[in-house]
Amino acid sequence: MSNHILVTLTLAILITSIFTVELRNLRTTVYFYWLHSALLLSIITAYATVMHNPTLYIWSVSVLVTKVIIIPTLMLTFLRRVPTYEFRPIIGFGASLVVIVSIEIVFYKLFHAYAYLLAPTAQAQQEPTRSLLAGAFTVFLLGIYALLTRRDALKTVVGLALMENGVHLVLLALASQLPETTMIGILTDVVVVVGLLLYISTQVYEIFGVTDTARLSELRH
Amino acid sequence: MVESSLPLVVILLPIAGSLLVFGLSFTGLKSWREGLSLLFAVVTFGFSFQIASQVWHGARLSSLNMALYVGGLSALMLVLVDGMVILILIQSIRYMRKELARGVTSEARLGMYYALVLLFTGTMNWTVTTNNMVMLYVAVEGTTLATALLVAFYRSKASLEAGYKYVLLVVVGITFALFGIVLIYAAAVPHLGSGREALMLTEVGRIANVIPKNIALLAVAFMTCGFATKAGLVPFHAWLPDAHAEAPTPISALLSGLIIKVGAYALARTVTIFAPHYHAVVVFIAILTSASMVIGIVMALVQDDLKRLLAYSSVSQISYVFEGLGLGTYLGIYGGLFHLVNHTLIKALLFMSVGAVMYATGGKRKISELGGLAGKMPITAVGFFVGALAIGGLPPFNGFMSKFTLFLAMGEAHLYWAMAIGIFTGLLTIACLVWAAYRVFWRQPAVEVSADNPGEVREVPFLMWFSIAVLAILCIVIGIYPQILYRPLDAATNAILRIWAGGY
Repeated sequence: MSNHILVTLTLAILITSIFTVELRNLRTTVYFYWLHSALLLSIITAYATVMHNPTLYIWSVSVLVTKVIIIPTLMLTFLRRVPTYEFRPIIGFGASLVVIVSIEIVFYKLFHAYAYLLAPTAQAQQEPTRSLLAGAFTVFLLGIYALLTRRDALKTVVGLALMENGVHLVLLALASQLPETTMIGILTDVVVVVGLLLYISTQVYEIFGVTDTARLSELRH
Repeated sequence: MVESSLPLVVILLPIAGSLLVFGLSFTGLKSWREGLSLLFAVVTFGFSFQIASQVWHGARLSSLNMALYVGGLSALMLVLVDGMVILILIQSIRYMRKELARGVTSEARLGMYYALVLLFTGTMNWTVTTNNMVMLYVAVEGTTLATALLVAFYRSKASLEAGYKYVLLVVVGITFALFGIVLIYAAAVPHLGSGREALMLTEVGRIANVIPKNIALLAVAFMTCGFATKAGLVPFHAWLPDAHAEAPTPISALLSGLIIKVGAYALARTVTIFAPHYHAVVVFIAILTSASMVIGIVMALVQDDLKRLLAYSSVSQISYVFEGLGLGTYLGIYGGLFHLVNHTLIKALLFMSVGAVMYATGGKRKISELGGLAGKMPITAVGFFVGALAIGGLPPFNGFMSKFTLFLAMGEAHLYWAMAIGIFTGLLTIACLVWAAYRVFWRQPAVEVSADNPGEVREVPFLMWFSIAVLAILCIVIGIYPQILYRPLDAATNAILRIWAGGY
């Protein structure tokens, strides 16, 4: 039963990833990222209960503060200064939707089937960790896909944040004994990175007048 | 193993200094910023040197229950980093004052500049002393973040673009490395028990052979790509030329001299522990770096902007360092680390000389706009020329010694094709840099070069050429007496090899 809840949550986080990458309204994108992080939080909490691992509750609190509260707030603050409609991506809406859904399904299936190549321990090849691990690798890939195909400054930051959430899921699946100080170190880093990128992007918008990061080099002359 | 608080001091002292300098920039004491930063840098260097001399006499230092660990490799990096920061700060004083006079920056931002350089020093010292794999990632990321605003310092279009690209690409790369680190950690937990031991680089090195092969290779691929992004190897180099060209010139020296070495250091601490078990890793790294060194120098040949030329040359040179470290033999690692030290000295020398040229000519850095400066700026000209010959690997300069060691190591590993590519790249480097030096300093320019403000181009003041002179002398001295570096390099090489053998 508890396994079913974890697998369902993993699938839910994969579906929110699609919305986060594909939606063209940036404010809605941030709300979906928020939902994505909230699901990450619930997976960690559910895992803590299933695995009887109290350290994970400390993880939940630090994820709540950083990924659910601070990072979306930083993104929304950024959006108050720039247009909230995404700069046209490199790939069209319909095509991108087809690509992202196929990436998600194909790679999730692949990672799930070949988990023994990715999981260093026998325990990690059992459910629910197996699904979680496959989901984690897929979210990481979707983050890379967003980075490669989106030109809008906020979208690239969201892509990076998705990659980080993917790594976080891997940490949960494989390294749940990780000391909490180390965990907090990683999360602090992520917050500073997002803050700094958005700070530079704000200045880019002030000086270039666009948030299209792919065209910066041609616009600078 | 000696429990010591010194490693903690060299991390916290520059960070405290950074906060102090930043705080003072809001008060009437803001003119103290240069002196104060320099003081903090010198004291930090003093402590680093004390740590290093203990290590070179056979001691191993650790702090906080092995969270920080200083062996030979860390000692070498500490001295190199903290010494170089002093020279860069000295170079910055006059250079940044001139930028202030030109109106491209403000008093308030200048305070931030020195605060960030000190913050960088602290994170860098943390990077090279931490013994925790995940904290290594956090600290490497810290060095990126501390320098991001220095790259985007001028807030011009070009520098903002460079800063944005720098942070985004390096952070994405390092996230890959974190992925690899997590895989290794997960694989190490069953063998090392509790969560904490499995994070320690010194412990993981001992069980590298029992980590499942597929996990080890996947993690090595991720970590190599991640740290290669930080180091700017082709094809992960997209951020490097822009960042080097658009940052203030002393910061270019810092980027090329120290930031990209972080990648090499992290590689030496993580990836090389698998080299003795998997020959495929050695070949993979040799192919990657051979391609990178040729592409880097070919790109450098076509540049007109001196700073971009030096940046692409760094792409090429850091490949030598990676190749040596990737070989995994004593001679390979020794040569790689030797070249790491030499490249830091040479490239900082070259960037500082370009900085001096820009100082004297009001910011000109295009080769086509310069010429015939040797008569007017003899010290800078000699400095740049020494750097050009040294980086090309001509005797009797230090670059020759380290490259020669690397070629021997490649021969010893039977990678003759890699050796041939290395020698070929060396010849192109001589051509590229010496030709650039000739055009800037000896060729008569089509139009007489003049400073923007009235007055003739003349040699830079003492505070500008001091660092250039120190580095040029070091390049020659190390070239003639390479044995003075034997003890630090031997200790550093053994630090890596000893961990493989199952000891500290």
